[in-house]
Amino acid sequence: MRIKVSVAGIADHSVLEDGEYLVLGEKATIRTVYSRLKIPLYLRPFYRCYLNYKPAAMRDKLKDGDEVFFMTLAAGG
Amino acid sequence: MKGVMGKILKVNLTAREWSEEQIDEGIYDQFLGGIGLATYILHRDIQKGADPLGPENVLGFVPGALTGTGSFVTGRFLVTGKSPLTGGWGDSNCGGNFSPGIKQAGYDGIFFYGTSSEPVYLFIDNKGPQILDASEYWGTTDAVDTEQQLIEKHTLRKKPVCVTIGEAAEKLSLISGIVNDKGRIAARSGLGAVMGSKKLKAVVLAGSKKIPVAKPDKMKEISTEYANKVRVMNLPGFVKGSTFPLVGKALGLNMRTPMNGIAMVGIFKKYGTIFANLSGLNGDLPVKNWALSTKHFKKKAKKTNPDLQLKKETNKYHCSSCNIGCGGEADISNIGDGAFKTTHKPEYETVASFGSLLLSNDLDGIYYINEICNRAGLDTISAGNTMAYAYECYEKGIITKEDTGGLELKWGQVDTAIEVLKQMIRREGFGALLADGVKAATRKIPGSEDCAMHAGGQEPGMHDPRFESGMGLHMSVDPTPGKHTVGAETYYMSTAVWNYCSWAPKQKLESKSHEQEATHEGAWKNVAMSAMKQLVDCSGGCLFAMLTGFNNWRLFDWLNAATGMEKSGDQLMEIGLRVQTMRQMFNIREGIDPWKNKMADRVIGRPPLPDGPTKGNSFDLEGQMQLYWEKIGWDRETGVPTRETLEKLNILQYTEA
Repeated sequence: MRIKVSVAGIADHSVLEDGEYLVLGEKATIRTVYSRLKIPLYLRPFYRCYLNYKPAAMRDKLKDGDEVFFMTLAAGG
Repeated sequence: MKGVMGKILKVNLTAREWSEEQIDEGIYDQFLGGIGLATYILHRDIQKGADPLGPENVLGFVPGALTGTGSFVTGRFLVTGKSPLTGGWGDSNCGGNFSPGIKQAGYDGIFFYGTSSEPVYLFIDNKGPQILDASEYWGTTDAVDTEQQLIEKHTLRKKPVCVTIGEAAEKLSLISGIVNDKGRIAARSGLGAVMGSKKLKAVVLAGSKKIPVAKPDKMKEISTEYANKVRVMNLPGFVKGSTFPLVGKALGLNMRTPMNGIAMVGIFKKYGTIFANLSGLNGDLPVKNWALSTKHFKKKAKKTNPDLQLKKETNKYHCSSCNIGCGGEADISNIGDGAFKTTHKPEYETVASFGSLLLSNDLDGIYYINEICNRAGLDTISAGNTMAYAYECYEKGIITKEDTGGLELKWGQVDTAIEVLKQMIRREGFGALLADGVKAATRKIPGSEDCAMHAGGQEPGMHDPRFESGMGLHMSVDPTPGKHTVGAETYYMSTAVWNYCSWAPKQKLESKSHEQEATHEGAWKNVAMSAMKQLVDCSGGCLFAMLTGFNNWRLFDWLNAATGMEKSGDQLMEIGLRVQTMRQMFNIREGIDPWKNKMADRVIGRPPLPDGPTKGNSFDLEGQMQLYWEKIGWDRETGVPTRETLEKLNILQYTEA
């Protein structure tokens, strides 16, 4: 399956196709996304994950066309 | 065209008369509304060389094409006119509840001409406009109290909305603004002084006219989708103010990546802009009149932790049509002499300009200053920069106690700043030297030019171009220079504008290091940034909503649904380019050399900072300006829009003078 991913910061962006798509196996979950993006365990508390614009849990299953993004805290004002 | 009211109100204050002008469909098609409409009116009605503080200047209040249409976060208005601060195009953007009141009064803009001999205010209800005596408020009543009294006076079935000026604008301070909703302020460009010069104390609106919408069902569909997204975006409980420096540092500071901007909503909901008090320690926060890195403010910054501000917050509020709600009010009855009961939660800009910029972390003092500025109608960004300028002049011995009337201007001391601020507002004593901002002050304080941070006369917002060069570029190339609300790389990466505009480069995963160089792709991004910001200002939209991404905050779709137009993204972005070029042509007509709007050397890293997160950073501003000019269709050597561009945008006829 192919899902759309938006993530800032120290994730492994090299696994993304066209900068924003992740190809995963059939039984993939949100945990798989964290893992594939290599988001370090110690930083995971600072990432808030959303699946199709709803808060997501690690065990949530994914399907083709899903959109996953991570809340990040950046500078601005 | 739907979404707009089809006419403007023109008020001649000299003759105390008013008239209405129907606006042709073709004008809306070209300029949409809001700032776009204002560029058309002001180009036409302000004569070349007009004195900004004379009767020949025109002061306009414009809502957006989307204001009041059922779209979200589109309730902002702009004040426009020739700026007395920069001598060129002036505009200032503000939230609150005033904007829909203009359309409900029946107009897409209210424009003031001439000068009244006595203080007046404009009142409009469904019976029509009236120009009324304001003598009892002039020189006696601050902006917040005037608003309250006028609203009480004119409340019948509907509570009116109101903008006013305070003492700073009455005394023609070139860094004064226009106040609404008890202390929100259209602060930039010195347009408060223009209102003061016209002896116009207030505008009170109590109309209830219906705002037409072309496709209400489509509007509802888009709005519902946005509402659903915003509703679930909440910060997890563990995110506290103290995590912002760590998170800011940890999260990919060296890489740029496209991000879904909706993720910012949680932060805005909980904190508003003050999250940047600490995340700005990543290098974004200016320190000691832009002379030091954030390394030198790190320990002090703890006392500006956003959580401390939340503790003072008594309630949150939303601007008109906003479903995010970054605003708040605070109890300050126990601060200072107890003169004030409440104040708006100071924005990050205010906390920085009277905090780190003065090496101060006196949060109580900043709250007190915030309310002084709100009531007097003084721009906290310009006032803070001006104060920092004065402190540096004092430190360097350019001015002494003899000049300051005995006051010691020591870094970190906000009490002294409060005294100087009061003098600035009253134009008394030492404060009189500073009342018009840093550029004017350098004319009165010889040898102080190197201490004055500004672009084209306007002091910079509190975001450091050494952290993000795009900020410095837009502060220098925008026809209203010095503003932090136009463009930056952080803004761009979350807008997803490339999904709507064929020529806007897609944000790729890339290192930030090359952003300091002048590149063609960077220039196109910056041009797209300018165009989309003008489009947002034509619509009454909020910058923060834009940062949630056009894929979420579907401005392009709302515009077509509200107006009945069927314009593509490229066609809508062309309106933005047209408006940006009209603003630039206004400056050219007024004899402004675009190179003179370049940001002060220190602010852009000349010389670079020797330490801290932005150590060594400087960038090719001149090269970036030239590439920006080239891509937008302005002469790359002079910044003057080319004839070909004016013809292509179909604005040659409006700009020939």
